[in-house]
Amino acid sequence: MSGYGAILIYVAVSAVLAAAISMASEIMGPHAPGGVKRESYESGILVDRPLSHFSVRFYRVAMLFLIFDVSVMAIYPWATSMRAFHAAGFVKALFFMVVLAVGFAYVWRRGGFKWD
Amino acid sequence: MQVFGLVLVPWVGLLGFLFPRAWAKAIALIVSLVDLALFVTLLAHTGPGVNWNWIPELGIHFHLAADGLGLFLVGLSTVLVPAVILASPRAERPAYYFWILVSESAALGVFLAQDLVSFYVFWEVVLIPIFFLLSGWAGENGHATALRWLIMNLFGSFFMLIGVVAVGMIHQTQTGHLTFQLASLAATNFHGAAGPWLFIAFLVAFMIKAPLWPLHGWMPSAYGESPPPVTALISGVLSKLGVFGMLRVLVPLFYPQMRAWEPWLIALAAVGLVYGAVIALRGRDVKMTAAYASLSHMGMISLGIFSLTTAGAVGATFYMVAHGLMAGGLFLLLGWLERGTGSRALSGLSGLNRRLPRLSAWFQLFALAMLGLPGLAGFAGEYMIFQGLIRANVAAAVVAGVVLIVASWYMIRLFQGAMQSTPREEAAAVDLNFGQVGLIGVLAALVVLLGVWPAAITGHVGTLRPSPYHVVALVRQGGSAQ
Amino acid sequence: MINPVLEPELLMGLGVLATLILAMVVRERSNAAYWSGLVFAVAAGVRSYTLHPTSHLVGGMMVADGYGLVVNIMVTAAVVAGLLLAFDSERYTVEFPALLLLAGLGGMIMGLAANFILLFLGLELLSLPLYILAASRRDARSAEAGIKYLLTGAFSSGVLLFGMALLYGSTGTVTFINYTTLHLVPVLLGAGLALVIVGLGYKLAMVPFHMWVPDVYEGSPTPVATFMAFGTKVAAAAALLRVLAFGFSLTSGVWGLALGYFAVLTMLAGNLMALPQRDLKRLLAWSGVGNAGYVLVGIASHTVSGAQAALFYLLPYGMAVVLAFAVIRVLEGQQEGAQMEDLTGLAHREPWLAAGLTVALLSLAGIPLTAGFFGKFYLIKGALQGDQWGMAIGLVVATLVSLGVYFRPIQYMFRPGEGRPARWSVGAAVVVAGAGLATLFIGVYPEPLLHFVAQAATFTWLR
Repeated sequence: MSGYGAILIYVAVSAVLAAAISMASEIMGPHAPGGVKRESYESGILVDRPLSHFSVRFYRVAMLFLIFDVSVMAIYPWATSMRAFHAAGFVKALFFMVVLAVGFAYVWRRGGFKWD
Repeated sequence: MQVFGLVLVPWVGLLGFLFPRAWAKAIALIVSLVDLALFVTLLAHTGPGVNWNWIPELGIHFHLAADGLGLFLVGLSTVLVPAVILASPRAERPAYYFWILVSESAALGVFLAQDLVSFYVFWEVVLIPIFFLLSGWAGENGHATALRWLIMNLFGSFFMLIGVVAVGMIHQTQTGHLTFQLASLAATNFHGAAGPWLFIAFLVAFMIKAPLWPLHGWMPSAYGESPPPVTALISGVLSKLGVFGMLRVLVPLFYPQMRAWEPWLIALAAVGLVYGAVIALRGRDVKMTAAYASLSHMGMISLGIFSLTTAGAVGATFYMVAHGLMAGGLFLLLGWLERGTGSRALSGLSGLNRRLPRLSAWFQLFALAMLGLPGLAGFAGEYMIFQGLIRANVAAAVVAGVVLIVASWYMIRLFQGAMQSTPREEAAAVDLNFGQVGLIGVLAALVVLLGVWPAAITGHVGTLRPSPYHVVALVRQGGSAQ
Repeated sequence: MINPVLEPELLMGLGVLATLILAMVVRERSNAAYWSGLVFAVAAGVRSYTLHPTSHLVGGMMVADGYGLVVNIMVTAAVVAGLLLAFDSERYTVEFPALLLLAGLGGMIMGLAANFILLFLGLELLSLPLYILAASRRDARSAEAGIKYLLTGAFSSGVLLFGMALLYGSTGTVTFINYTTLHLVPVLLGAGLALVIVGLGYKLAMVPFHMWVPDVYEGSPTPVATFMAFGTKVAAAAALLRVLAFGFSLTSGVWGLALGYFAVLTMLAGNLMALPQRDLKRLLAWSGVGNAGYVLVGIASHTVSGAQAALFYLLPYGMAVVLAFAVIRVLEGQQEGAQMEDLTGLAHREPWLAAGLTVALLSLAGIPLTAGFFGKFYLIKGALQGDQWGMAIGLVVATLVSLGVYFRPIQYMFRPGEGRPARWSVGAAVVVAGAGLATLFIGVYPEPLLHFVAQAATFTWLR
């Protein structure tokens, strides 16, 4: 049991607490079924039927966001220990950013950010 | 360097593509005559040959040299190829002549090679020009014929390739030295478990190329459908490669295996000898009769080799040259016969003696040479083979003797059927012109010369560089093979 | 600051950037990006050749030894061939060179990788651009090729990754430098190696993981198929050889026999399936499957000669297949690909083109005086050195079957009749001449190249 006992107690308490809170809101909150609540929530996209098509442009934006977001994340570990890497590390990070910038410029130039 | 020139010169035939089509034949002829001239210089002075360290990484040498075994087969090729080119139609495409020259180069390479890998390279290259000649010039079924030729031959060759590599590597494990020089390999001991399999791999490849019964499946269509000059080339020069390989590779390398299996090998060759003769006897087509006669003669030559006697081996070599000249001449004559009368069915030909006197006369000479009339080249070779065979295996000698009688029967039947008997009233037939007479006359002169003076070849055997005869002789005496 | 052994990769990377920048600044129809890609790829290849090989581990990740450099040269050659065959931004878009260079960079990294993580990165860098390139023609077949390649590729990556994870569990390290058997967990090792072989086998087109190959080659644009047939195969074979002969040499008992069976199966199945094909790209795809089997013979024999032969064989194969694809590129019109019937009468209409294809097919069939012969010779030597007679015989039987594959197109070419007209481009002419002459030269005098490759692929701890 030793140190893991605390975790077990923590898990149990949080489960009980979560159940209690949801039950409390179910009992005490107001009930107004219907309207917009019955529709599925898709990050702001208006969906009329569950299996309808929607524009492929959403994917493109999401993909571009993901690519640059994940790439930029790689800068954080370097930034936290920038001094340890000295000038050489700085140049390398700069090169990394240049590569990203070329990619960004390319997407921009080829109209990747245009909606229409 | 002459020997390298011999192999290289035919490639000059590439020039044929640069000039107008009408010149193609002349260019090819000049090139082949240059090669013939090179052979004559070789006859006068057999140089040391070339031995280059071709691929040291794999222990492969490019080693060409004329020895007692190869020299006269080189002569056969250089004589027959100009004849084949002369007998070809004037208007053929340059590619036709080019492929004939390439096949000459490759065949010469095989006859001269003293390194097993050099040997193998030329051995396989031979297939390609004949493949193209059959594909393009062997009529309707040429493509199927060509593929059959290629696949059957490569079936043997590819397994032989494993054999080639294995032989070199066994030599390496025994001596610590990777080489494919035939002279060094002859000292290797292939008694291991792999020995018989390697022997079979080589034997099958050689038997297919010769061809020897029962591996002659490609022969009927290839001989039957190719144009006559190409048939003359295949049966005159290329069919010698197989039996030559037996002398060059099998005897020095696998003497113990050959010795152990000698009765079986002799039986195999004897069956082939009889089989070819019987089919020839029943043939209804002059060209196919000659083709199966050729098959039968291949059996005769291999009997000489399998007898494992010096006389047999020398006889086989002599007979290879003689047979090349005779078969080459015979197939050229049959081609002219077919073109002159428009038929090659034995039933459609009769009494040509009167209508085609010149062709019939020369045909008679070659038919008599083929059946082994004393005084012509065939006889001397057969005599020596017999000499060896009687010492090795009397039963086989008897079979061979019977077949010789059958041989005279089918040849005479062929001659009588086509030339004698009563002439029928038919469309005009075309006899030989003077050029053709001159061409066949040269071949006939050589046949007669070798018939009356066989020592021209056999006398050289002992005086030339070490050749596998020494190996045969030495091994039989219990000496070492080198 | 940058380790000089990485200069070829750096050149290739800079090439990607430069071509991408060019692709956005120049006009749509300009071929400037192709020129720039060509210059950088050639430079990377030349630098790989001039670089002095070292056997030191760089950053615990890669080894720029002779082996890796030979792989680099072959991959850059495949990139150059692909670029030369495309070289038309109207037909193949301006992004083509950048994507192809990126894929080439991935292949080069796979050749150097001495570490599972880097190997995986290289593989993905090689594959992702190829997924896009395979689908880059806007028609149904190209899209089919792209999606098939993507799905099988993603699946194989997953398998490979799982195998790597198991091997990491077994060995405790992701660097594969000649593990000793002492510290290995046998069960994990066997399962991990099996999964790694399967994962790389997908890329190499090893039977039974080859199903995607014909459809992808047929649907992809011809220059892309050219790169896949040469570059991808080189990279995958190199990585497999490096992992097995370099890393897990001492445990060859685990993988040697299995890989031998895979090799024979691949050779036979590939060549047998190539027999009935009438579409030349499908024919070459199946032939590529069979040739992957030949390479596997060298790897599975697990001898010095075998490893050298596997690496050497990739070159004759690559040159022949590039040459054959170049001929298809010249023959194809607006539609990609060519049928067997399109070759009819080619020898009379286009003698040089016919000569080129003939040389390529003879080399694939292993006829002497072409490079393919010495490739097969070497492979048989490798197999026999490992005492693997079965593999040598399997190789010979497969080669025999392949005769029916390679000699039928030759017969079509020399048959009279009207086929499809040829449309030469300068790039295709350069590829046909270069690959054809190189095939013949290596067939006649292979020593320099053989020596170079043999030096590169000598793993001293092999027999």
